[in-house]
Amino acid sequence: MKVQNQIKLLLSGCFAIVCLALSACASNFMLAEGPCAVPSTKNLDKAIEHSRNALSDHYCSSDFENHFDNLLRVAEENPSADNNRRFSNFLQWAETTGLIGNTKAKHRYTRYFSRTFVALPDNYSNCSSTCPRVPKVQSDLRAELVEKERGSRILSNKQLMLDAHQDFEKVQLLLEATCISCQANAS
Amino acid sequence: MNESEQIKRTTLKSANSSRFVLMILFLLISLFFHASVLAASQSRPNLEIFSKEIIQNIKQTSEVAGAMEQSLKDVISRLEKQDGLYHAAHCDSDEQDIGCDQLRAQLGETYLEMLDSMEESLPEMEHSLATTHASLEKRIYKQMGKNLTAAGLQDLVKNAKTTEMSPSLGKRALSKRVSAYYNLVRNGSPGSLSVVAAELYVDSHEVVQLLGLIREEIGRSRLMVEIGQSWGIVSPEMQNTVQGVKSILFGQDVESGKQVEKLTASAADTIYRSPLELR
Repeated sequence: MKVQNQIKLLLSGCFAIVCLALSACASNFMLAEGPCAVPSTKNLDKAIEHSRNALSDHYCSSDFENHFDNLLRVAEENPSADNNRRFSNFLQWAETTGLIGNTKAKHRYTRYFSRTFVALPDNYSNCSSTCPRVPKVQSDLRAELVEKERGSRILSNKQLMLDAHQDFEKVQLLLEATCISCQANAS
Repeated sequence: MNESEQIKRTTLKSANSSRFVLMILFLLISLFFHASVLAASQSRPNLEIFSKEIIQNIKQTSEVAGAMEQSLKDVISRLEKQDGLYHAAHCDSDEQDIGCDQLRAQLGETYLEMLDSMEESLPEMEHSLATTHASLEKRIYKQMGKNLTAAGLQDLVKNAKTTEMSPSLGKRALSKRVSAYYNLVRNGSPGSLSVVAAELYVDSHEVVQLLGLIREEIGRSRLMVEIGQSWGIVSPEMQNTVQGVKSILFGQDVESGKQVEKLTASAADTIYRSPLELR
């Protein structure tokens, strides 16, 4: 009797795990159907409207990243100088509704549509904090540069990409010089 | 309540209060530390990397490099001509020919002449570059390493104007590179000066190291030529020394200096600025 109960318990546990895994897969692969699904339209304004409606549902709030990424994809197919206004409005809306925090909204916008690199820390001095982890900072910078390239395509703004690339090169140079001097003075 | 219980409570109370005091102290210290770093990051000091002394040093380095180039130009071009002649006459395969023997002797003599000339001017060059490098190092460490955050470095970069030609990118002659730095320092905006300082610092760091290697190589080459006495042909090692000297002094590819892309001014006024954008 005891053994039977244990087997039942084990089976129901397995069932629960399978259900959880399936639901996780469903949210990862973005089901085309359902209230949280990302829009299939290629029109950015319509896609934003759809995402707003979907994300307004408390049940779908965890799908913000999927929706944002989809909007970027749609925007890449519809490049326009006005797209940053659309994204800014969308992010401000997401912030107001509490989907994301203020810092995340600012960082998310800046990562794609501004030459400023948010990957550069602004809390401690270079010698004490940045130089010991230069490889990580550099890889974060590179990742952000790729996002800025995407943002520049979305805005059809080559200048943004050129500015970002130039800043990237110069910051790398300043970091290299600064960290060599820090190392020389530490020894 | 018995006595032992009371003692227990008192001990617990004092332990709690000391823990509380410690926590407050820790909080205050971390707050103070954070505030001081924040103040440092927000004050964004105006960088004053190039003192009069450093500027004078750069000028002097450019002059020394120019004089060195001048003194080596003739001897290196003579060496190359003789080497060309030696190969054109197929002397590398004909070891018995008297004419080839003479050419070999001339090559060895010219090579030694180049080493002499280099040995004479290298110390002054090295000293001048090392002084510039050390002064820059001190200031970069203090102003950019200790007083700025990584985001602070970015602020400097944003103020930097695009230079038409970056001195080190062009692989130009050393004297021209240093003199380009000198001109940039004299005419540069505060933002671009930090970039120039970083570039000059990194560049001089590499050149000082290379000059050291070349000095060692010169000693070795001289020994080989002097021991040989027969002068021999210019060996691959000697050719490396000549190439090393040439690349530092005259630049590797004088004409193909990479032009930094000139950017057209963006119509900043018409561009949409989001309130979310961090600057």
